[in-house]
Amino acid sequence: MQFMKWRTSLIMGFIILGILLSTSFYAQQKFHETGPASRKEDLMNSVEELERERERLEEELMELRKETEDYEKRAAANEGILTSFTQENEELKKAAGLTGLKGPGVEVTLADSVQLPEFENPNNYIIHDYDLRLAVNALLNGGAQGVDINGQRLISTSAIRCAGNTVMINSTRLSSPYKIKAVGDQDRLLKMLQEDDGFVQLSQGYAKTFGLIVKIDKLSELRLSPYEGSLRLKYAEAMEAK
Amino acid sequence: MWPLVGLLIGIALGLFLKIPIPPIYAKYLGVATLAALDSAFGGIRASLEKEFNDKLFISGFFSNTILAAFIVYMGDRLGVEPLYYAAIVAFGVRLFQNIAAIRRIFFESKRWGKE
Repeated sequence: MQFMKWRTSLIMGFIILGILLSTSFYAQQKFHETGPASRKEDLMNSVEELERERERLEEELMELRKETEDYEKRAAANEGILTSFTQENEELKKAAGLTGLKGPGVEVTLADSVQLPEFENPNNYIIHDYDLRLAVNALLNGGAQGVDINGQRLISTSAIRCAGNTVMINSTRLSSPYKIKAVGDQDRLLKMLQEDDGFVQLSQGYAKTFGLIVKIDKLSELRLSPYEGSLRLKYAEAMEAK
Repeated sequence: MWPLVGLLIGIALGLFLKIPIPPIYAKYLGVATLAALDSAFGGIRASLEKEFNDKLFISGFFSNTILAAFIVYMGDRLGVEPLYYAAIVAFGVRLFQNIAAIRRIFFESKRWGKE
């Protein structure tokens, strides 16, 4: 064949064609690989994004709370009358779970089974939201003055609920192992854990049958993290004390 | 064979860049690629026939690809999804014609023909 003088524009056209070909080939391949899962991926991405957003907002909220606290302290220093209010305020915050707590208490560790479920229901081998509720209830019954699960402090509006294969507390997803820290009278806490039928069934029965991990530790100093979420009570109004 | 080299460079670039295309646009891109394929072969054919024209090639290349994607888009919007068959058939037929013409030119050239 004779030497052909190809025009630059034609060659450029071919380069673009090549890019188009490989890009659409790549896109199709990815589409086939992910297929209907791509929607799931999208949802997961948005969940992760929202969680990051929430974390950022929580940090902001903590900063603002600290700022408010500073103002309160300064005001208290200026005017002696406010001191008693400030003290009361501190006490209320401690009780509401807005401050970190430290003190003696009990740590209950619950974790999914290490055994592999073969033919049985795999749900039997993991820790569920209701298992956590059993433990928390028993601890509160034992007079726990603050409860913290994996860094999430329980307050009056906290829910412990199931969210897929994780547990959601204070709109944060937690996964096994769950460390439940409760500050309070150690002996009473332990006694209530041992006397709670539901918890005993979990720690003696299910734990042994399915290999769930249930561990109870007495610790002389526990540290609970403060509640970091929002506190806006939109519908509730305080009533005057009679 | 410079066009072939260009094609390979383009493919390599595309594979290297890995431009992420959302799945919903993959169809548009596919039809646009078909139109580009048709234009490119049309360009080779014109070159072999010594009728190649830069302006004609470039304008054809881009207007065809954009029009092809646009037809698919219109089909989707109007609820006439089969409209994109129109683009596939039109460009597909032209692609075959162009390749047939290129083949004919090869066989008629001195090197291949004349038995």
